[in-house]
Amino acid sequence: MKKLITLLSISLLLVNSSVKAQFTEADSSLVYINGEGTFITLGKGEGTKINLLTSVQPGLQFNNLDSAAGIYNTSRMSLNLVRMSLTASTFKNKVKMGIVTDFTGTSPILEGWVGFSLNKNITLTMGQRQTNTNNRLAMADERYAQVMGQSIAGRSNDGIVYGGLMQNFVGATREGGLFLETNFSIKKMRVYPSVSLTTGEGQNFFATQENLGFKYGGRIDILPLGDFIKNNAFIAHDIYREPKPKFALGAAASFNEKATSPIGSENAKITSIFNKAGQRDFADYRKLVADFIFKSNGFSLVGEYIVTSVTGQDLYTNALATNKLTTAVASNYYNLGSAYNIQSSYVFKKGLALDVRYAKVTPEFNTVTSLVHNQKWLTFGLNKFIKNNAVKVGLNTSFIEDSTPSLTKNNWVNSFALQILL
Amino acid sequence: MAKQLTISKILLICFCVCTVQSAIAQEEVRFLERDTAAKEGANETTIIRLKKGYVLGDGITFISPKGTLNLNQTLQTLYFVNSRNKDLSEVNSSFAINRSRLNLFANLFENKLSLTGRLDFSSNLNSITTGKRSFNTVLQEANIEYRPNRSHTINFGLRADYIDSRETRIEGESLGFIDRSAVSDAFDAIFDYGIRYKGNYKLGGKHLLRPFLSITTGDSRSSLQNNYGGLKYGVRLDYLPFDKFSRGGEYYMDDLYREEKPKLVVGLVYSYNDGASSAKGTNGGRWLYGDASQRLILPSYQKIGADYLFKYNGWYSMGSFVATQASVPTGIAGEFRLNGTFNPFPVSQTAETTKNTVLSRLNLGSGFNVQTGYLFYSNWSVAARYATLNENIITASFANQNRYYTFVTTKYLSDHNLKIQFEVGYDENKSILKTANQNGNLRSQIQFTIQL
Repeated sequence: MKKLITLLSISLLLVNSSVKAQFTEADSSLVYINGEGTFITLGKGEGTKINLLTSVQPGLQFNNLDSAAGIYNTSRMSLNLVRMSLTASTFKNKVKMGIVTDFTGTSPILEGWVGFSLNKNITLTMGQRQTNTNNRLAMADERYAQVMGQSIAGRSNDGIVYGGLMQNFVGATREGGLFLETNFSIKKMRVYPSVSLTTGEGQNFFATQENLGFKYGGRIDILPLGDFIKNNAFIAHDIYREPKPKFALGAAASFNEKATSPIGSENAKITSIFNKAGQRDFADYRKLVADFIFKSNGFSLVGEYIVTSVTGQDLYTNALATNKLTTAVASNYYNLGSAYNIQSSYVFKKGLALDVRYAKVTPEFNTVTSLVHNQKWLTFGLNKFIKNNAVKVGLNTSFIEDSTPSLTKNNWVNSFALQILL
Repeated sequence: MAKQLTISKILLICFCVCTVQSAIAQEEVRFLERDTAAKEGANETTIIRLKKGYVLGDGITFISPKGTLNLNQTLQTLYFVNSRNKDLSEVNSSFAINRSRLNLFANLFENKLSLTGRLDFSSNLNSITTGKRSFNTVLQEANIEYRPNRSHTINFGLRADYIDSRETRIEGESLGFIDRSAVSDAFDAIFDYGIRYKGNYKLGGKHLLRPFLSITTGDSRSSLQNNYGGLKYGVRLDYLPFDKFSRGGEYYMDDLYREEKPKLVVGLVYSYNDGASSAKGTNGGRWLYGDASQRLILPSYQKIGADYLFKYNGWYSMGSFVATQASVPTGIAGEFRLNGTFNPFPVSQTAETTKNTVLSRLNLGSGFNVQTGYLFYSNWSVAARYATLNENIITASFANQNRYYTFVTTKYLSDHNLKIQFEVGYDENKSILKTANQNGNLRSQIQFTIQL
């Protein structure tokens, strides 16, 4: 009898296990999560996992520019974002890939990268993606920006989306190259160091780079209170409402050897710097960044600081090599100076968010011809998240004061946008 | 009796528990089915589900009783480095997204009708041809295919041509090298819009004959904006003396499935473009000429080629020969600028000069490519390629380097769906371009490929 009971009990256990196995090892499944898109698992167990996320953001903007020429009012209706993105992992998560497309510009690809796990904690990625050498919020996709505004193929022409710091010292956030990332823990603290070798020529530069030199950079993020939820350490709003306080401190540096554009985020924009032999040449562009983010229960505070400089020997502004490229003169060719950006927001439990952002930009040389001007950017915003960030409605107003020794301009920009992530 | 009753009770309880577990299991399975299926109602609506048994490269396949829909995303990222100087004193490089293609394939009516679409996101929405003749290069394929039976296929739309070299029959993600050869680069238009026929005939024994016929625009993807000049007529004849290749081996280079018996395909190709408006047919509308009345008048362009692919026991060899020529009509009085305005040639210009001007904008000459490779049991492969180009005296420039030597090694992690390739090569300058410091171009590249 005992044997019979034992046998039956084992049978029951086996049946139960079998059922659980069927449940956990479904062969291909499809799940939709509001705000995060569609998750497709192909094959059994740790097969290939795919996340598809589509986003559309139409917007309206009213602009009031007060300059020496008088008051000039403009308005604009635009598609701020039209994106499809796909991320996937396969080979037991050892291989990852990502593609982000945007159809607002002339080239649809924004990101395309393949990453290989060299071991449990080290990943090598090759392709185009958001580079790790900029400020914290430059590593977040525009879909998660605190301030909604127009972007064209990932670039914000008027700077409303990301503010004065990035408008003057970052430009396009994506770049092609090699990225090596790792992470480890020291007790509760999480540490994320990364280094990169990129073109230094900005987004979608797939042509041959003629002996110009690369951009070498690195970044380290220290999270003393442990990991944030998902990508929350790199987005301004606390949309996930961290249940416990979370804090991250970051620093990044880059050395862009022979930068051909003012911020090193475009290609072949600078044409009149020469070496001693009269051949076209370029200066090296350096960037230092420090930032932090704090989040707790819907509250968020982000602070960022950036400073840039150039270096280079025997550079001239004429082919005869008589006019030396001094640091002061270089400020006419490169964006030299510093900026800080501080922004805060609170996301209520029902999804309403109140925002404020302030940035101050200071040129290294306050001259009429310097590419960087004294600027103050102040933005207030109101956003409403619906259905776990699947729908976002935003209203924001920005005041920008731009002054050179000879001219002061005031620009007042009001934007409304609606975003759907599907 | 009491003991028997107890046993009966236990058995009854066990049966009930098992039944309940089974019911729960069914419920959970149904729940999963709901995850993978979309349903509902009316007569024309059917349940779809995700295809099971996925392996990398299969893509996402939705299945319904009426057909299938497959979506597949590919990505190739590349790092390239080269130097033209003998002393390697100036090194150039690039990081690139080589291809990022979303493929869509749908079958209907028991596989008799299919639809293919392809977008390459790494292309530009604007073509290199500007002005009124610009076109979208992101769209690579969009066609409908009808297969009344296994022997005949009719295709209508935009796709890669059958009448280019054999290399173009192989998808970019399935090449054994990182790029196609210089011969393909010089003479293949690849994509075009038109009607095509593909046959498959058994000649007895294991002999197969596959004829391909096509009538296309000859203007490639720009034809979706406008057709320039007459049509392009093409024919390919493929002969397979030893039956078909295993597992579609005709459509990739390395012998991934190690043919147990020798397999060979030999092909002959001919095409006649009645009105060529670009160097090789890639960007139609680039060069447009007019007569005295500004009516469009274009040269004709002919291409002839022969190629083969052989595979056996891990080895493969592939080769092609291509030659082109053109004929310029009389009466050309000028050309149309990219903004559409007419630019008459000087009245004093001779007919010979006009003819040479027209010929100098077409890729005219010949090319030969041969390559061979071996796949080891470890799924590492090695391959070598030699290609040479010969330009006619009057032609567009396409062979500043005219001898190409390439060596590649590939690690196949999951066939062509996940692989890493490393390539080195040397492109030798043609004689008149050789200098004391420059003989050619030394290059190297590494590429990651993934196909979901």
